[in-house]
Amino acid sequence: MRRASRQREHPATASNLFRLWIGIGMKSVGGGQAVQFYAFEALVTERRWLTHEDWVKSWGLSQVVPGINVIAVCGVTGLRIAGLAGALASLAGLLLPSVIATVAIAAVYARIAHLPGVAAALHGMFIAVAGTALVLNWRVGRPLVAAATERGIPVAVATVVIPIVAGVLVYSGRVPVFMVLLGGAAILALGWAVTSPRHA
Amino acid sequence: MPDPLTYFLLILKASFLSSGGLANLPSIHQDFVERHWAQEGQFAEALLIGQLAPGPTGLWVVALGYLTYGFAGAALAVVAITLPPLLALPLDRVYRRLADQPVVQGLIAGLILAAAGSVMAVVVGVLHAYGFDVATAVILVLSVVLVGTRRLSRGALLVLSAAAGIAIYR
Repeated sequence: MRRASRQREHPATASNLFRLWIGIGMKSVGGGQAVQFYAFEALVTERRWLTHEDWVKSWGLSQVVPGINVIAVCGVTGLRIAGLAGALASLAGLLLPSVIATVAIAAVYARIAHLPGVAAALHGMFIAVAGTALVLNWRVGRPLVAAATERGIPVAVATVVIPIVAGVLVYSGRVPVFMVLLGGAAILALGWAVTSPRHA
Repeated sequence: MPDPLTYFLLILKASFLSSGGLANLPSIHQDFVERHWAQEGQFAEALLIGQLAPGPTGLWVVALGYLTYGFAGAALAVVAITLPPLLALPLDRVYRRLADQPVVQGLIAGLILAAAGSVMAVVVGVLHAYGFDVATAVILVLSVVLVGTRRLSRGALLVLSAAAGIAIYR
């Protein structure tokens, strides 16, 4: 009964999705993890517009497609809930407040950049962001290395060597970045294909 | 002055070859610096604005767009970073078959690993441009430890490191 009344109150329409994602977009300070948390709460736990399984599948799909994962999840969940209109409404809701906030902060920054202390604060913050990037890359890379050890020594070695060589090549600035990325992707695509058992 | 179509296509290219919101950094960095459309410091600024603003941190490109090419740059950046993940919409039906292929899994793993190394190369380049000193090493180690052990949220870390920056570098 409670569920039925809740769904009558908040039907799964494109305009309701738009409103919901505006809220998620504004609350989510701290990047993708925060968005993931609030979106799950709203779509699965609270409104029940999406099953837990649908949610997991959407996140899996977002890892396969290029670019920002949250945008893929937002679009796919919108599509599943209310069709193409739902997808577009969800995306508009996610992007509108965050894009406006981003441009507003950039505009304010451009005006205060010359003030004493701003450059120094930025310098300190950038070092912290560098440390954060190191931790995030480690968290993403470690399970890939662990998975690679099951595929034999050549794949394991390639998995460890690829980021190091990629870093050196990009730092040298002599090789186009897209070639470095495609090279790493091609090597492991081949490595995984060769070391996987074939199913009919 | 950037040419809008090239500007858009370079961000689109970088984003199509990325996994997650930060992995387009190395390619954009290379292309923009080469064309003198952006300076080293503007990447640090844009990345920080991306951390401070609500929503996905991948919107750092929108901040870079604004800082290097005004509202036009921001608008071009929004479209260029939104299109690649929307491949998910047509792929939703075929995803199961696609994701189970070892070739696809290996391809994505390779892309993620190469991007991780490339992103760190750009980050090190920006740190080098700032000048690497003892204070840099201390802040770097502290932030790795505090974020790595989840003792500090990223927001709190930014506030503390800004204070440290003002105390040390002003």
